[in-house]
Amino acid sequence: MNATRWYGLVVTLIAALAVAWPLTRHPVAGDSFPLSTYPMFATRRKDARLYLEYVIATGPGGARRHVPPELVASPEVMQAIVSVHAAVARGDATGLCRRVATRLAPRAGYRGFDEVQVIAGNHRAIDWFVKGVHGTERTLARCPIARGAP
Amino acid sequence: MKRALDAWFAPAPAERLAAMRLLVGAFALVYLATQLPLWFGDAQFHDGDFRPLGVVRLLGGPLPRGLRLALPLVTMALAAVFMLGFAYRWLAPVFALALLFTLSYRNSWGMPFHTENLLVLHALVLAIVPAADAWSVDARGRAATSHERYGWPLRVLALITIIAYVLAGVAKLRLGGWAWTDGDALREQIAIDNLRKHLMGAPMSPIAATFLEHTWLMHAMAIGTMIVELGAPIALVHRRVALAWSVAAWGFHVGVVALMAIVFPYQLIGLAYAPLLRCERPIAWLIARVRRGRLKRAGASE
Repeated sequence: MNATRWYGLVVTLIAALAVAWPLTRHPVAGDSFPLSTYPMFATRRKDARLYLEYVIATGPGGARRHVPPELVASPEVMQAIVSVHAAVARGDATGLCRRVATRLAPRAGYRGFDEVQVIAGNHRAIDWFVKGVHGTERTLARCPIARGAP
Repeated sequence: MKRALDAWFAPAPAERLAAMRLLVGAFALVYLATQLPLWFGDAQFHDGDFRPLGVVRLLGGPLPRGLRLALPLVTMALAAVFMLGFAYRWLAPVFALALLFTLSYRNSWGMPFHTENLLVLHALVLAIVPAADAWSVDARGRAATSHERYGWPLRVLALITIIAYVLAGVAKLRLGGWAWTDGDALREQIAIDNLRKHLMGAPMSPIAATFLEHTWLMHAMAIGTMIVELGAPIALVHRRVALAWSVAAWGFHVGVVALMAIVFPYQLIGLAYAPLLRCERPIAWLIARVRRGRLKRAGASE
């Protein structure tokens, strides 16, 4: 075998073993980057139960809008979910609420809203979409959207 | 054994490997550019959320803000140099390591994104093979040839793609067994993902609710997913089979966009499958067209 083939063989083996190495780890706990177990969509979620903390803006007459991820923490939905959960877990739901309220205050699209709430929701996702049945919600923090005098 | 080795080391044109360099470099450059708002926004990078992954575990803690902002910018500059194929032997590995570190750092805040793995792995391989022997600054004035040194790297890139799909299938089997193919797990995942997006105020799939009502559709999709993932090695058998598998895998990602609004850009653009195909052809066509245009303009001005 010539040098090209020896080098090619070594690189091929190292690459194949490295990419396949996550097989030796737990599919979820052993996930990493860039060597991944690719566990997405793999787990069962009994009753499609979803516990999630999220942020809403509320206003007079029952107005309600779910605040988009880029105004909460990150343009990435999943990253925003992690950030909201981490804030709640470290007891910073009120701080998160205030930060979001500050971001919403100057936005024209939120003029009809006067309060931000951090909510812990418990829903069954399939029931939500198929039967229109919503689960329960608990308010973890609420704060006003403070706007300066006109 | 000899026959298998000969097949693995079958020659390929230098342009095919160069096309992968151009495509991966361009993708990394554009991808990082689109991610800049995320890097410049501070909300995601809360020190308490730092969960280092991969090479980022070498760090003692989060980077200072200035250094964090410099990461994507430096990597983008290196991606441009990687594309140009300048001082490739030295700068390509620097780019690949920078990309590895940058995207590992981005994935170290509690949520690994499985949309970026193949990009990094392909860049790492391209950085240590002669991918700048054509269509590059380094190769100016040199005629491109066909040689076995350009063939095996393409097969390694393809192998990485294939192993990734197999791992995804194996993860489903390890966590759910063959019962995963009954479609219930997929249905639950689609429902949860869409509800998560709705509750987070993000766009969700407009058709997911309709699909969730039909369990037989979920069953068919789950079986199809498993065939694509566990059947991926068949793509190494023949180029036409590879094309058919690539189309099927691409279709799977189109389905993921349609039902969960989750975008795997590297797969959707087709780069994950490019090493299985004659990926140099569109670029060669484009270069020939530009050259013809230049000649025509030069002829008109004489």
